[in-house]
Amino acid sequence: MIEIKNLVKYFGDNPVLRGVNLTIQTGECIVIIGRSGCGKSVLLKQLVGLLYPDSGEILIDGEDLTQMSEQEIYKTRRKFGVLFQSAALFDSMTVSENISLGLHEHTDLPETEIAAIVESKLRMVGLPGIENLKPAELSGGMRKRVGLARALAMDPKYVLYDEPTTGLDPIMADIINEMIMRLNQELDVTSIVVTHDMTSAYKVADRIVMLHRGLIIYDGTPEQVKNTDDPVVRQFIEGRAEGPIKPIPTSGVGSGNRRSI
Amino acid sequence: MSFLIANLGRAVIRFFTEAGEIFILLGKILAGYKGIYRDRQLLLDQLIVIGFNSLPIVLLVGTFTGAVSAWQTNYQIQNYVPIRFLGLATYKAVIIELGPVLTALMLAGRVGASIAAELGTMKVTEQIDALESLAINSVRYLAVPRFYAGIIMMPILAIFSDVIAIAGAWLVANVLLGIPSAIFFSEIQPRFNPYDVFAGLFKSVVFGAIICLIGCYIGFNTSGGAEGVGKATIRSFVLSAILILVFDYILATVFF
Repeated sequence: MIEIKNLVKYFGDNPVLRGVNLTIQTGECIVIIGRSGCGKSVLLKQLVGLLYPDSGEILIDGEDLTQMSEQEIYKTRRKFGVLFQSAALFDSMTVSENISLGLHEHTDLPETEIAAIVESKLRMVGLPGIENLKPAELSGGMRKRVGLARALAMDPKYVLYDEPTTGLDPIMADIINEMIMRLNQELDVTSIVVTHDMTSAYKVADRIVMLHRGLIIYDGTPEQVKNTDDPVVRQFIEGRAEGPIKPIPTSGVGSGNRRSI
Repeated sequence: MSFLIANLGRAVIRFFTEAGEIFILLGKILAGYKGIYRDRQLLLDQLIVIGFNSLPIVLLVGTFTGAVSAWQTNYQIQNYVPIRFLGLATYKAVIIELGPVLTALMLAGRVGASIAAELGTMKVTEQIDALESLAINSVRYLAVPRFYAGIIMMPILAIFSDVIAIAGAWLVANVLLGIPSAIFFSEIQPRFNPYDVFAGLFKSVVFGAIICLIGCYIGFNTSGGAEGVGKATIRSFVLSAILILVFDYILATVFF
């Protein structure tokens, strides 16, 4: 279970998260929706310690990530698989090397066993036989699926999806959605999906929360979201320019206190 | 006026912040020596990229460095100093100063800028975040092998540069200036001082550390897409070149 308590994050003088409270139950698929730049990806990156919160707690299975040492954070990260918005494949490596990197780093498995895991993960995402291709040789949808295979290689407990369907055609987007649902059911993982694609959100979510102005302003099932009369949520899900949601100031976003390296 | 003071204050804060961050990165890299054996394949890859692949350009620069230093030394000393000292003067200049510094400046462009561009691209395309999300320490995986490959290969490249530069100087002296080999080398052998060689190679180690450290620091802190990567590349070269010249002066005052 993941518990987020009063999470606050500033970039410069700009408050991105202003006290987020959220509990994610083990095994559920939760979708976080909100406008571009509202802090969804920032929230996601803080769950794996890629960004530091200014205050608040992030409890991963009861242990507070914000109080952990660097070594403990690395250990905790092994519970997570992350699919990045751009897939973020290592472009100097083959597909096989991308997927097996975590296994080579963290296990003593023999090469034959690692190759078998790579093959099974690629089969799982519907891309068997592409082990030796480089990321530059893959289409956008293939890159996302290889990114997903890499995220699943270490059999994570939690899988984070950052805009998994962005930039894909509707058919490929639906294939990714089906994959998220299947993995959630078959592998019994907890899925946290960040998106502004409502088709995707309705399809994969057990629960949808909306992030707006740095706060969770709505929490409900897909059916409840569809039928809500909350004006902010309605404007967002109907994709209307007119309504209570005003443009988000973006100055300073993306330049905050990242974990120093 | 207050605007100027505010800007100056911001610049000073930024300078000390960046200097502090560079030292923190250096500390983490130095502490990473413990994992070098485990990551020997990564180190080997970087030894080839930084060292072996740089050899042709280092040899080319070294040849012309020696050639021009012999030609110009001859011009400067011809009416004041006996010509048998040409070889010694060229050798000293090459071993102590020109070999290490020109090799380092060349590698600041070839290696340092390449590290900044590579890591910068990984940063803006979230590949470094992806590495971290796989519970792999990006400093250990990316910076440590590059840094240690840099400090190992720089003195080796400087030795190659020194040897080829002296050969270039001898060629110019012998073929173009008509100075016999026996005279060219006559003052080098009796006045050979291992301390000069040590000082030159020590400088190379420091320059190698500067080039790789700055390349990694700027790469890790790149933002702003393709434009940001371009700026990072330039910044890495400029900052490395400045620091090489500053540390060259500091080390000269320490050694000589």
